[in-house]
Amino acid sequence: MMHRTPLILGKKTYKDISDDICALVERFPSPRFMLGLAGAQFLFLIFVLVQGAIVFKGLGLMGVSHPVGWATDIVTFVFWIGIGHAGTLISAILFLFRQKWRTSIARTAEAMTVFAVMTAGLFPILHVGRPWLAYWLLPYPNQRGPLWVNFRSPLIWDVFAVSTYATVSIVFWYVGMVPDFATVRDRAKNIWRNRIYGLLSLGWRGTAHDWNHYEMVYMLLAGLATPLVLSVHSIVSFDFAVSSLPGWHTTIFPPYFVAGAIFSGFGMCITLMTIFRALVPTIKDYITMEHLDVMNRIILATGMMVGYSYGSEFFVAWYSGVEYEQYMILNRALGPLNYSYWTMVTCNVLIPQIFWFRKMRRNLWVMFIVSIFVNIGMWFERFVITVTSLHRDFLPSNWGMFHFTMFDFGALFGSFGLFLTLFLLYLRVLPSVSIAEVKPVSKVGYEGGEHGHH
Amino acid sequence: MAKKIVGLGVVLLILGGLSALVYALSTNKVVIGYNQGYMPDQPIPFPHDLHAGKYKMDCKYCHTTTEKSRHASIPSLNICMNCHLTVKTDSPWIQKIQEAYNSGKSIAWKKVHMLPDFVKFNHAPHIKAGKQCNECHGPVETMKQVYQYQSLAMGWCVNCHRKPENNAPTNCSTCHY
Amino acid sequence: MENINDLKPQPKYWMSLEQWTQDPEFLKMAENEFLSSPLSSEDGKDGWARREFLKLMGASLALTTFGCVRRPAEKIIPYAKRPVEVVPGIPDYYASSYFDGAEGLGIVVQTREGRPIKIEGNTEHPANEGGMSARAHAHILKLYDPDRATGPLKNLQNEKKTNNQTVNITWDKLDQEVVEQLKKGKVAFLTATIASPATKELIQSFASQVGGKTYEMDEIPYEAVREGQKLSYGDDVVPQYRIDKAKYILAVNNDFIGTWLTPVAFQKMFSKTRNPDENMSKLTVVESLLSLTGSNADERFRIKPSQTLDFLMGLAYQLNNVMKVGGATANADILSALKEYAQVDARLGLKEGTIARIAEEIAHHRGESLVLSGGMTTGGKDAVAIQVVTNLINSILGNEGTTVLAGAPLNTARGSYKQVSDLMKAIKDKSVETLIIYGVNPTYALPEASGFQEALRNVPVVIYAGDRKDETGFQADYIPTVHHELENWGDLETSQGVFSLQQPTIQPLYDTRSFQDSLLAWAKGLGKKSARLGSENWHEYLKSYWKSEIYPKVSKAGTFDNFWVDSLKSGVVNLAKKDSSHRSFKAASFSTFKKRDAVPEMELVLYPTVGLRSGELANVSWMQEFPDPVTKLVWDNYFTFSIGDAKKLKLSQGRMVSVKVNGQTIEGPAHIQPGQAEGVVGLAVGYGRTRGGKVCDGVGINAFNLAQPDGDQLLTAGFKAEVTPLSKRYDLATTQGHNTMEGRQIVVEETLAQFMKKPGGQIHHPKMMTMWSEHKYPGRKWAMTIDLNKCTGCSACLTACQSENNIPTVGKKYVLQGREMHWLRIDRYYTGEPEDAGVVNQPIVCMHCDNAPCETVCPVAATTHSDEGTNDMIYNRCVGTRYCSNNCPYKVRRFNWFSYTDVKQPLNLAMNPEVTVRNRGVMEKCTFCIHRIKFEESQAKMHDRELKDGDVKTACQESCPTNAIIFGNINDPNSEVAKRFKQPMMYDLLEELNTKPSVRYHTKVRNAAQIKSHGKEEHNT
Repeated sequence: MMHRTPLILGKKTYKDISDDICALVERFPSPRFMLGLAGAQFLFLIFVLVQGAIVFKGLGLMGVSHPVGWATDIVTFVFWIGIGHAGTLISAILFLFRQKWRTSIARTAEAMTVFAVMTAGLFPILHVGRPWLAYWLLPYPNQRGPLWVNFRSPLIWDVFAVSTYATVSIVFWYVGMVPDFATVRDRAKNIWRNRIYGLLSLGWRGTAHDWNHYEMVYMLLAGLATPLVLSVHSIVSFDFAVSSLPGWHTTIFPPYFVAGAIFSGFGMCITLMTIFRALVPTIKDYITMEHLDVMNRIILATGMMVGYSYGSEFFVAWYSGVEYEQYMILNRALGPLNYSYWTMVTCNVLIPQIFWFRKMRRNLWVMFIVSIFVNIGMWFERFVITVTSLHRDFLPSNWGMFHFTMFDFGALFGSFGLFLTLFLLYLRVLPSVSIAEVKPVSKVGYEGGEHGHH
Repeated sequence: MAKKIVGLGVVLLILGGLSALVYALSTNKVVIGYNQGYMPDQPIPFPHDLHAGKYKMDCKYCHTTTEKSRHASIPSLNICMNCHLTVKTDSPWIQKIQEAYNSGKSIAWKKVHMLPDFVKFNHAPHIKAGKQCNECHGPVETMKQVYQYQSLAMGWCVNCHRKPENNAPTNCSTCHY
Repeated sequence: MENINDLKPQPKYWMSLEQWTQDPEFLKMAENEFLSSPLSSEDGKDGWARREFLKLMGASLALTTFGCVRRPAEKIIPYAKRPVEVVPGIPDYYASSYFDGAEGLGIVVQTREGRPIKIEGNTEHPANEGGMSARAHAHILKLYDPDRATGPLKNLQNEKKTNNQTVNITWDKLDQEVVEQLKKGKVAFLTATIASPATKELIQSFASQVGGKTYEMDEIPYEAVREGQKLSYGDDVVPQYRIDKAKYILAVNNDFIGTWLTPVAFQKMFSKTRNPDENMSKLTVVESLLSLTGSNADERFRIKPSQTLDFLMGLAYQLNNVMKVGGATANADILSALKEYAQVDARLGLKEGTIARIAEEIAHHRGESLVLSGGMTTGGKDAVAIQVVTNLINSILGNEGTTVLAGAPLNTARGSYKQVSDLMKAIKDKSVETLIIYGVNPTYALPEASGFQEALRNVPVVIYAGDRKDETGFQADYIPTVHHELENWGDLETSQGVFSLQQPTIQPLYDTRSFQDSLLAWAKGLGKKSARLGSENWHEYLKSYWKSEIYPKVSKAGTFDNFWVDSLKSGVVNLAKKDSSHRSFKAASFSTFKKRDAVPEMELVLYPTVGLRSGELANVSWMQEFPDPVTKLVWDNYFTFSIGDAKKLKLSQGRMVSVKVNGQTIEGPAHIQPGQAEGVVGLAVGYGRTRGGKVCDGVGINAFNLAQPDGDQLLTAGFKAEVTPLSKRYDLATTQGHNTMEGRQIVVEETLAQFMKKPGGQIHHPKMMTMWSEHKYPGRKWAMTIDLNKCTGCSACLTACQSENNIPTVGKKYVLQGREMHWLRIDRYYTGEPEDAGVVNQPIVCMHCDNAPCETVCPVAATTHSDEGTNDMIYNRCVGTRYCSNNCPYKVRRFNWFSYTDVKQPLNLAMNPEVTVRNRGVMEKCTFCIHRIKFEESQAKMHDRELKDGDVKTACQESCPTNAIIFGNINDPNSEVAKRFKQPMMYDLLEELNTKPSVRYHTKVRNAAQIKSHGKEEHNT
């Protein structure tokens, strides 16, 4: 009988697992961790100040101008939405495919999704001229006749897509945590912890009855979440694909965007997992090299998919015979903003190639750096699509340039502050590895590859 | 079992209530957040019930530009003076008007029917279409102090414009430009 | 009877938090029921807020029309005594006149509730026939200029007139002191060319009464024209140039379409000759800089300014000596004088035989051609000589008496530098005790080299009748602050016999007094009663002048009072008689030629711009942010270089250069100008004001200061210039990103031949199909046609639109970021070889597409399609996603990046209450002047009539001097627009996108052999 590599290292007993994972919630975090949190919150503060200034004074503070009506805000929005996808993919799709190795990273990946979507959600609101009226994008009954939203507008589709995605992810994430909340509750010595986690665990008692329902709900939600992985970014891509602008008006966008999203999602996943391992050493046994290796392979694969789409854009431009299209693609590669295009190609297509080598896939530093590059590259991919298409379109007299301002950088890096703050807080207060899911697979790879069935 | 029924009932009640409210709002049966009934105190308490009601004066005698212009226009003092040079000159209020008139100063009345500036309402065509003043302004002839009778909400305008018998335009640019 | 207490109402509802909390501030407001104006409630401190005129504003709540302010407690202030003609909400129109220093226009002033908000052209007036210039539109904003002086001023000058501490002074005090001063006699007047006959007479008689002399000067000099006429024909006139009678127009360094003499009138006439048929005129331009005229040329050649004379002589030689055209003069001096210009082509860098060819062409049109020259760019030593040769050629060609008419000359450009130098002489020999300056700003407009500023210091008392303490005001002792023209009576004689009145359209904003009234007051003080000087006031004077001078000349005018009222109504009295004077050329004038000195290898020329001219409107932000019709640059002047020179000097756009000329060295940014002749540096005048006001001070370089006095002439061109590039760079703000069409079908050009064969043959129509059902337009459908063939690119429409639609200016910093707000822009593309570029202009408004890309993508339906074909922008619904702008292929949409609405008072009075003022964060764009449509509709409805074609005119259409823009209802088959819309030479912009625009363009037709390529050359982007 073939020998399977263990999913959880260090021959853990069930108790060890509970102890290791709950420790994060129960013990006071290490100074390292606090340092990380402080850094994240500093960035978050910047975000608050910058966006405050913009809302108070006007969008003119940012680099957006005529003809470049969309820039940093929208780019960053698409970027964060994309990040979310890996989470759902790991937690839902791999679950449906019964991929046991996903168990120990699923929770964190899912958390990443939730926080990414929360961060992303802010940008469409903050990028409009009058954010205080952004609620007009919701179709609510009103006394204006009534006056409804314009259902033909992709932005409205976005509102639905993103809000659905956010809801489902949060529910899915929460439901997954219920048994673990119970565990934390039961271990609680402090009365308040007991009550709070008790509340969160919705009176979970761990009966067969409970488990039965739980498994069913979890699977249904997984089924529900799966199509979203494809739908959300497809719809986001419609913002561009449905318009008439050369560089936006193209049918390849939905798959292109989804592939990119998963690519960037796994990039971010690697970044976070490596940070996680660095900040919380005990977790190394649960988030193992195997996990990272697998994710790196996916990065390699999806990286080449985006690379393919980049190439196909040239083909389409040539094949369409539309002069505007052809000028646009050349302008991307050779125009005044070509730096963004080549950053994109280098980071997304060339650099990941290093993962052909097993050694590299299993080197923490290498994968960390590569994952950072992937993040950068994917941000620039959206920048290329949004800005370089806008800055030179049909009538040459309108052509303009885009210049970053301090506020653009503030908004971009600040958003990482928001995201990381949420993420680190999550590590601190919620069981960051699914105890309930890990225990069954903890024996995998030991005792002649016995399978942990329920 | 009974519990279940009660629960169901509650749910239905809530849903029903909500949809009723939605309906009422969007058809302007219920109005929230507009100035309906707003009744500011005027610098000179001009009794419409007396002029328009008791003495049956035509609205357009004072609001002269109603048929010509977008504004019905608050009468200028010389119109008041047409009568009040002789009528009720002993009233301190009238004397105040007299004063103002002689010194050529204007009186700053409080605006009762306040449309936002981005709404371009035009009196003249409505009068031309045979609308009566009180359809929008209410029974002014009974008001000691004028107040906003209708909601003046957009829905209120549009619902009337939509009526086929009015064949009124419903382009956005009818009122907003 | 009820007692007051019953009447006293009890508060029922509380309107605002202030009232509820019984905020004392609010209570004060509430008690103080006698507010004089809406503004005084905002700031009672402002002295002028309580001013009389504000009462006239009546119920103009539109004063502060902020987009989405929800229900602020508002006051409504009716008139105390409403003037009969004023109906709140209905505009009043007053015919009046405008004179910009060289050109007189008949105008109609639109006022609302007693405040003028827009100036439009008077279609009755023969000079401009309703056409307008950008400056004439901007004139309105000078009325509301916050930097105007609010009352008479006195400067406490020291001997040298250097320290000056300004004090306010009462009119009585000022009159008293001035009268005292005037008693000393020796009075001199320095004025601009006075085009108002009554004012002219007033000044003359006043001067003669006090024993004074009058001097006239023009900030932009035109004296050479008069000089030339004097020498050639012996009469001191600026003739009428009947361009409309010309089939062939040759403009030699002459910008008659842009800046020379009376551009609007010229454009009007020019456009009449440009119908693409066998009678279409041909415009050949020979020039140094790329002027607006040059950009409209059918054929264009480049020479240096100092070669202008050579060229004309060469042409004269061909016509006279070689071809012996018409009554070719056999005069020996002329023949010999011309001989040496036999072969000038090479010397001028023209292709061999070019001049001969031009001579051939122009000779075909004897008596119906026109040669024009002159302007600042020919203001060199041989300025007069140039005029003389021009006259000679026109005489040879028999244009004298057909296209050049001296019978009813233009009443303009009487000023000359000679008079200024005479004045300075007079000052030197102490024969000027008091100098009264009116209508000019000599301290600014004359170079220090002329010594005028110095001379002014030696005048005991200088009285400057200006509207502010500007450069000249700084040197003056008294500033009897004058009215703005819109506050004042007056009249105007544009050309002999064409009179029009100027009437006040608003009560004076400030404690100012018209110059004429000041003179009358002083005359009274001096006890001079003779002539009309005894008149009660200027108005009386004007009336009596018209009664005695003009009224008698009018046949069957009825009583004078009727005549007066009629003239006020129509705004114009045309007594011009049919003129066919023919004058014969004085050969003797040829003896005046100076020998031409060597052409410097790099020479500097000064030129006026369409926007600023001599800078009298420099403090009007509209004019500073007015994209130059040729360069499209704003907020600066700059040294223009040809591409060749730029290569030689290794210059790039915006590189700083230092230019050494006439011993001065000035630094400025370089602008690389395609189509400019090599060896020339251009620099625009009108910039570099130092005391003009907050807007214009310190913007650009004062080029006037580079002009060079030469005897009785002030040279403005042909200076030897040494250029040294500096390492510094400078940001020049442009409103156009890229200057070539990249070979795309944007402006379609065809030659006249092609057009005659198959109109619109050059247009490529893509095959179109659609999956969607079209919109239905049951009633009207509004549409517009723009005739690129007529459009000269003068950009009057741009400013008209700005004035009509409350469009803000954003300042240089934001133009650099592409955030200018103009709803109507004029795209200018270069064609052909950059060095010798051609130019096409294309006005771009919102296309109001049937399939509008913006409408589908707006999430909140803030931009929607009306059933009259307009694309409506609903500001108050807009949340500002900017998706519409991104998806608009024409990029006509403008976004309010910041709040531009809170303008400095009293500029807000220029706002048009019909158009909502947009607040921060909303999108805006051209509306097809929907408010005008709505107004006309309701008017028609009220009078139970249908709208007829021409009832609704858009602001741009109204102001266009060439009638290039036609607007109307295409569902009415008889409307002009409907007739044009379907014609074969009309095309949609970016037709392949199937947006189905409601705006169509007429192809540009060139009366030339071939069209320059629309290829991909990269010009200074």
